[in-house]
Amino acid sequence: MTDQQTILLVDDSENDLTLMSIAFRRAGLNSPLQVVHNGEEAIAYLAGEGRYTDRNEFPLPAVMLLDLNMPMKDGFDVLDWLRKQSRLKRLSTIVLTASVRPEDVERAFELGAHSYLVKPAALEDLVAMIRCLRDWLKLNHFPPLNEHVKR
Amino acid sequence: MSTEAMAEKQTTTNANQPLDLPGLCLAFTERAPLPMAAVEGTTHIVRYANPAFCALMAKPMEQLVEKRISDLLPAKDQCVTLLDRVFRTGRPASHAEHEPSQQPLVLWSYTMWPVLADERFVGVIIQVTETAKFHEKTVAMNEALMLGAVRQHELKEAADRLNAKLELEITERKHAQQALLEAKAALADEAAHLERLVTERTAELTSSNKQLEAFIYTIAHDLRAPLRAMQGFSDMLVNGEDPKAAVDYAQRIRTSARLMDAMLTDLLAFSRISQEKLDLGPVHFETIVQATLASLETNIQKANGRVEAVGPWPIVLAHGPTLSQVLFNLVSNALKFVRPGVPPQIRIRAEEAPATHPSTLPLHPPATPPAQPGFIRVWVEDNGIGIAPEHQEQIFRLFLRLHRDAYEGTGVGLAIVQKAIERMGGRIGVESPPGHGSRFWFDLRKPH
Repeated sequence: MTDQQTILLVDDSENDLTLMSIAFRRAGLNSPLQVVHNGEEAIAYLAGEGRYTDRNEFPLPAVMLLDLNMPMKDGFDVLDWLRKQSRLKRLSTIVLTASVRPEDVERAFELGAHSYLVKPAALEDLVAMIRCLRDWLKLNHFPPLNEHVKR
Repeated sequence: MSTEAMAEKQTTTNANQPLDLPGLCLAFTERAPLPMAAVEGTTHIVRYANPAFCALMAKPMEQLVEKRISDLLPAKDQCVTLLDRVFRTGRPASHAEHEPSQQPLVLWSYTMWPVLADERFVGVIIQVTETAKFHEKTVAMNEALMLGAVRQHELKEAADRLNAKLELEITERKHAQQALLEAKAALADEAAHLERLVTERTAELTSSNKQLEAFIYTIAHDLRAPLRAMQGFSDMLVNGEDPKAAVDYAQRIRTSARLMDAMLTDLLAFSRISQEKLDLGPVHFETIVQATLASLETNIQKANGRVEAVGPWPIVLAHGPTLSQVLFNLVSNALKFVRPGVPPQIRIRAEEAPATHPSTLPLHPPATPPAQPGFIRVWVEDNGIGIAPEHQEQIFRLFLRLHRDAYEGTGVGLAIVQKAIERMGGRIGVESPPGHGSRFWFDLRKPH
């Protein structure tokens, strides 16, 4: 079941995205991974708008790994938008950022983030983090994402 | 004889009267309630005393007649002197004197007139009145009343004086009270003012502390990104994992190192512009334009760009090198942020602010405020990719890069521009009508 959970990775840094995919591979996390590069793209993806209308190609994620500091719309903008989307309240939001600022942690949770992780500097630490994520995905019970399925 | 003398006197006064005037006079004198006596000669021997006189002296006539008057009268010091004079001059006189050693005093008053016989003065008639204590009492009473009046006056004056003084004191006290109230109010005002100052300063300090904190945080955060890449990809290289990608990893490491170096360089430039003391003076904008375009010549050629600098050029109040930096950054950006394959077209122009603001404000004020009187507005316009309205404020933030993948850079250039303009007392902004590139503007003061 876990392998079917799509993960949406939102990060503007091409280097970080590459490192993340390396860490996913090393940690043995095989969930389908979707990548967008900023808040605007993330909102478009989640709303199924623009180039993301096809849910077969761009399925709704169960988990979103969200960077905060991004150009255009940032991670907070995405969280703020997400709060108002009743259709998306089953999405688990994990902030993954370089920011260790307490205000950012507070604000992220205020805006409805479910978890707040800080990007480790060393690759092996990132791998360890993704391993935890993998285990958590295995243990966590996810509801059906689409309410129509539930009915 | 005294009676005869008196009769004689009356006779001389009324010579032709058939009446027995001397006899009448004597009878009057005898019955008069006023004490009278007649004295003779220079020694003033008493020759006659009427019954009232005898009663006054409390002696029978026999004991009074033939005596010197001075031996009879109780108060006589000046009386005798006066008798002498009346006798000598023939002029009547009145006199009053105190009886010595009588307590309370007794006043004797005398009225004297001469007695004529054969055209010469032979004696003097004395009428004596003892005013006893009555006059004294009256005088005393009068005096007392007078004193009282005086006193009353004095008292009134004193009271008036006191009242005036009191009133003055009350007024003074009122003034003092008023002054005290005013001082209190002023003190309260001062305290409130100080409190406000402290609050303001604290807010300023807190704000600048927050800014500094945010600044340091941004630096740490943004410098860590290339470091993270360097560390991650060097890990991959060291582990020998994925040898096919080794060159890519090495390149990523090099790029990150280069980026970090550029960021540090720009950061230092930003810090310098924020801290450096800028001596402002009149600057010919034309020389700045020429120098900046000359130093950008290679970049312009490489980008196949065209820069149009439209005079006339004003003189502005600025710091030359800083203004050059501003223009350099803005033109560099305009050269950089174009769609691929589009040759950049840049126009630099300057305009003077209208002398006064229009009296009526437009109903919908434009996003770009008009330049204030006394300022020069410089425009740097391009045909580039433009900036969406929601990002127009962000772009001046340190390290902020809207298009990280498409365009190189550190995200410091516009932060430097904004800081530089601020430090030269100006304003900066941008407008970007969709599809028409960006129009950066900045205002600088005209020199006096």
